[in-house]
Amino acid sequence: MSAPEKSASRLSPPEGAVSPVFHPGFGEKLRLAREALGLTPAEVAAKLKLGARQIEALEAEDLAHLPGDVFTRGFVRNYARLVRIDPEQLIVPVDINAAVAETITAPSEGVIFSSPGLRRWVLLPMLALGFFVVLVAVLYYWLRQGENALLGAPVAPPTVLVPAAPPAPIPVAPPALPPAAAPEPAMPAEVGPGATPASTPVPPSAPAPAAQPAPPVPTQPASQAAPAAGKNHTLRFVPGLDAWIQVVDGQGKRYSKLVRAGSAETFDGEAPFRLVVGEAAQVKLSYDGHHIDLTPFIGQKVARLTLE
Amino acid sequence: MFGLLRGYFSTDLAIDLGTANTLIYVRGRGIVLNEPSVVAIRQEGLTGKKTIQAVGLEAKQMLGRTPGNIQAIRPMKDGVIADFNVTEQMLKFFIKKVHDSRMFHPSPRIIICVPSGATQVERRAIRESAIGAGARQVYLIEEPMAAAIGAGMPVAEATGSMVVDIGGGTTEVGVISLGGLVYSASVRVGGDKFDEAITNYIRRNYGMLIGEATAENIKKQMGSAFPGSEVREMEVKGRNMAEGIPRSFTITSNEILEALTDPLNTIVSAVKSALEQTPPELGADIADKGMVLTGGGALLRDIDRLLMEETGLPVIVAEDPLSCVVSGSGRALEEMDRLATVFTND
Repeated sequence: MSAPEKSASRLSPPEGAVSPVFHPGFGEKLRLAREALGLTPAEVAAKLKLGARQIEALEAEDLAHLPGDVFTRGFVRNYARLVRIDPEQLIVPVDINAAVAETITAPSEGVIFSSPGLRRWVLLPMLALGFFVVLVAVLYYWLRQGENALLGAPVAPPTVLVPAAPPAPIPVAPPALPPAAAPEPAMPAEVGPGATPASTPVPPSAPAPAAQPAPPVPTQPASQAAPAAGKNHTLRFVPGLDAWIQVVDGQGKRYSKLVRAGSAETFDGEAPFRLVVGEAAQVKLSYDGHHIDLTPFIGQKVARLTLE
Repeated sequence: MFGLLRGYFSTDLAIDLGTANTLIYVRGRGIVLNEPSVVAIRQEGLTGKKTIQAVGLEAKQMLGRTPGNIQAIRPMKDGVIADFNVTEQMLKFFIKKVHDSRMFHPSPRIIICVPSGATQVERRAIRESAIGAGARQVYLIEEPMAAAIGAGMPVAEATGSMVVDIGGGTTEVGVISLGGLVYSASVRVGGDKFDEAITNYIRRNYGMLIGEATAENIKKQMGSAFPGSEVREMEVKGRNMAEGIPRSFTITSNEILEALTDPLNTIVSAVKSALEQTPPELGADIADKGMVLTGGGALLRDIDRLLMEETGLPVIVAEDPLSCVVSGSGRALEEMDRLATVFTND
């Protein structure tokens, strides 16, 4: 049912009854006024261009024989003007806006203006917001766990045995994506699982008794010696060409330096060490006096590896 | 994303962008704005930059009284856009005015009326200006259809209804049945042409020049479309063309009737031609119920009488003729799903 039909059904009375939009007795008033002017229904009909039947129906307040509400009200107004009565006495004024609001707003509540559209307008921002929240959560988790996630993925790192010291294996784990690695010392614990007993925290302590008496290199005795005297290891680089060397030790301390060709550079610190060595093919590296071959870790020219 | 949010905080509107007045219906609130379609533009002396001085009623009071650097413009002419940019600015102003929220720039869905005789270019212009004013979606509805819905006629029924909407710039005649326009015609005669006819008549017969506002005032006070028993008089002030000095003179309602004959005849012939073109079944319905007059022109005294005598059919003036078009568009807005057939494509 369309809007006008609804408004009609709301406004038109049941058959035979007087419509609430007309004051009771409006037909009688019209008839009396017409008779006072000495007009016949036929004359009125001719002037208003209505049928005599319609004039009779108006006077008899027989709305069933008249066209819809809007038209009947118009006829009554025209008739009243002709017989010089104020139409307000006959017709209950209807506030057009109120009527529209009443007939229209109520039913449209259930229907909802182009419902798919409304749903879209509600849902889209919500979906977008939800997606954004999930994205932020994932990003946060990734940043927190990023390094673990990235470094935990690589296959079991090859355990490199330092050839010079067969009884003291030094596990070396080349990280798969070292540039993204954050300086968190928790890593090496997870690097190990693939390497099993050999590379678990035990081995570092195993070579310790053998290596410890020898390495205490007297280069940095003052600051490092006291707190980590038992754990300190020494790295020594001797590059054949100028090489950029970066070392991050187990405590997160970072050294980076361009080491000139021919000169030697020594670093002290706690294991594990994460190394980035430029011109690696030309660099000789020793770890607590043991020579380490960098060849397996060289990418283009740079070697990236972790020493435990 | 931001656009969606803005849309979420905007209310849907129905706009009767008329030549004389612009009315806005807000969904769920009713008619909230009724302002003259006039914009006053100020031109800065040094930079030549144009800024909006006033819009609506305030601007209308400036019509014909502006200094050199202010221009009071009526951007709509004959029911369509005459000045695109100014129309856009005016719409933007009105849309902002009916939105309470200051947080977001409003981006509502809009139903806007177009004359049934508007060309594709004119429809496109109206659509574009509404989009330029911030609408995110624009639906067009033809004025006779909106007027019929607003007048409460049974547009969706299988019965013929005839509506004559006499606006500021155009007169629309429509025959409607089953939610569609069976016949529609638009003549570019309306309230403005009445004013113009009065101005021309006075210039011709009295050698006096009067302004637009005075002509409108004469029309409202004394204008009639059918000779009545009572003859009224009115004193009018204008500029004597021969002397160049302001003078006052008296004019009678019969003279105004004579002045209005030409534009009224155009309307009568449009109505007659609509009746000629109407299929006989619908013609029979119209003969029974008559036609409904809407728009500001319907307030011209005895215009219903004139059409009654000329066509021999009952003629009814709608109860609130000025707001029929906008309330019809508003009703279409409220019940967009059910009244989908009333919208028009470009």
